[in-house]
Amino acid sequence: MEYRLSPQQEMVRDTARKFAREVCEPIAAEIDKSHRFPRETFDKMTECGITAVGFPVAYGGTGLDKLAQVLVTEEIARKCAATAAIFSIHQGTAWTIHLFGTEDQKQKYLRPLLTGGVIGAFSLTEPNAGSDASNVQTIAVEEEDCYVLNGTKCFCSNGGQAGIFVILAMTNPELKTRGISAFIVEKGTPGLSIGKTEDKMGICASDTSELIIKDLRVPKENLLGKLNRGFNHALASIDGSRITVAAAQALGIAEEALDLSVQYVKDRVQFGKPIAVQQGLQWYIADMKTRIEAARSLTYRAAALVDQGEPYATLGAMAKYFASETAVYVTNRAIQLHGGYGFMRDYPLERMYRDAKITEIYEGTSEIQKLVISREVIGKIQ
Amino acid sequence: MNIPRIAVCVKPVPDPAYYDKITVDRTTKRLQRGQAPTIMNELDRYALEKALQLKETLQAEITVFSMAPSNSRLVLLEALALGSDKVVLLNDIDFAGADTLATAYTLARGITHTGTFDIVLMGSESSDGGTEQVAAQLGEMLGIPRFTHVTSVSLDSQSGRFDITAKHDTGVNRYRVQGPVLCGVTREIATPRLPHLRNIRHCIEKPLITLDSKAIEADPQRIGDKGSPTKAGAIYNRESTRQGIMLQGTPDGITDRILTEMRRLGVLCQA
Repeated sequence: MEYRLSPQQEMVRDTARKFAREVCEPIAAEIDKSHRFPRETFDKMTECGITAVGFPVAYGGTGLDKLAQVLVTEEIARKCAATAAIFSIHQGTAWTIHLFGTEDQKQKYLRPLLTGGVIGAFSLTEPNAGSDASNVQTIAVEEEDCYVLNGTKCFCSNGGQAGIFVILAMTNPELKTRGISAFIVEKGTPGLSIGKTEDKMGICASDTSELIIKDLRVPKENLLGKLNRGFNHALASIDGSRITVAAAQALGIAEEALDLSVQYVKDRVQFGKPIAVQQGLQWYIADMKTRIEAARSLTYRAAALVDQGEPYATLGAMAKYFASETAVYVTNRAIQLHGGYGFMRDYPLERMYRDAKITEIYEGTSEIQKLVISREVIGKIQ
Repeated sequence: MNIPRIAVCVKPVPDPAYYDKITVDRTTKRLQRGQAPTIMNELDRYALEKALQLKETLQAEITVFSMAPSNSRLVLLEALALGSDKVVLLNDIDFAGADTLATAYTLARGITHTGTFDIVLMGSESSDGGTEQVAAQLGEMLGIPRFTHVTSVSLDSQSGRFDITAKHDTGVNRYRVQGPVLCGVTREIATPRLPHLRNIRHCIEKPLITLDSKAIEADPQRIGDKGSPTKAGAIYNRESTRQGIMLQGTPDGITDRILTEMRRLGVLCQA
């Protein structure tokens, strides 16, 4: 079993690392505090091809692979988890269009998303439809040349900043999740407006907004994938994006928290010696590192399965579940190791702790991941 | 003038962000890079950026030269991904232990062996050595005008003349000189770019040529440790006894405390 990155993957990682250090890190605290969406960072990502990583060259992508996407998200998340969220959710939207779009849709929408600085947003969640998508109440009614959508979406990541949306709506409410369809909607289409922007605990610089949909006329050619198959399409897309959006992001946050902790315990002197000599604290570090390496193995392997065309949903769910819980565990321990300083806003750890929490929730909660995993392991019970 | 040919010398160095992972072998007195990743020397990145800008305006051809161990391949591939046309890696166990003189000699042999160039660009200094000697020595060995602390370079492709600005402690000198020339550059020369991720995919297909001491017909007495008159003296750890003191209170009170402390330490005369 060969277990190492290719030279190109290493270069992608190094480039993303440089980008994160030079562009993301200097403003991470400021955009968190002011809840400012870093539009300029997104433009710089577009300039050097980061927004296009892992997509086919024919649509403006860089080529490369899913693992390259993971490496980019991980490196950016180390310095600014909010920016990693913006990037990876944008890529998840493009990924959905790439998986299920017609050739015309890919030509029309992927290029602006990947190389044109247009931000993507994916919207399934509603006030009463979170983990339970069968309760989606946004309705799409077929007319002669279009679908007319009405409803309200919430917690739409990138919603207030996006130029291209993938929106899910009921085309046949009686069929529940088998009656959901996906639509590509452009910003500025009459009937689509942005409602409340959420005030969040973490990833504060990312935009999470409500979408108000009132008599939104979507041309029939903007139906994404098959009619009434939207929920399956969404699940297939989320299976992939949870590896990048949540697992890779969580991994990056955890790694940075560990690095900061290792430096701190070596520098911090109490009782006349560095606190790193205390065995109790050494064991914290050992636990943190072990969990991170396990999370990395799961995450990279899940990404490698995507690249090899193998089934990846279960391993992706394991990666997402384990990496996100690792990020929360490691940032919590890191604050403990930093003592009072870790609790202060002058240090980045409290931000990382707040940011880590979302990785256990979005792209399917930890509980949903366990459902996915157990169903695969146990099988269908008669 | 034909298509300008640019040589850029690049040194792989330990990433300064990981200097805490570096140790010095007390016997050989050489750096042990440990887990510190290798990156392109920062000022060489600026030199390469200048070369890329010249290439964009003049369709120049860029060849990167590096005397480095074979595990520096990523740094060299990065130079290709950024837009260089070719990399020449000077790699031989006998190059190990080279000081600035032996390094300059090896680079000079590699460049001469490979072809003729209108301009040689490199950083004025390296982040891990900081001697600022290689650019001057290499210029001498190549027998061409050399300039260090260069802040701007432009080329008139009709005449083959370069306009060069170099800074010194009290001002700047401007030169107009017929190529070929060598420039050791500073940060003012350009703002380095990151490689576009699309180019990373294909950089591996560009030529990366490895030359050893025989290939460049180097004099064995002038390379590596043998060719290096510089010998490391004693090696010791710097002991730091500095301590921070946290002052709290009103601005006036803190100011008085600082002044009192500075007088106590003899930094200020007694009032």
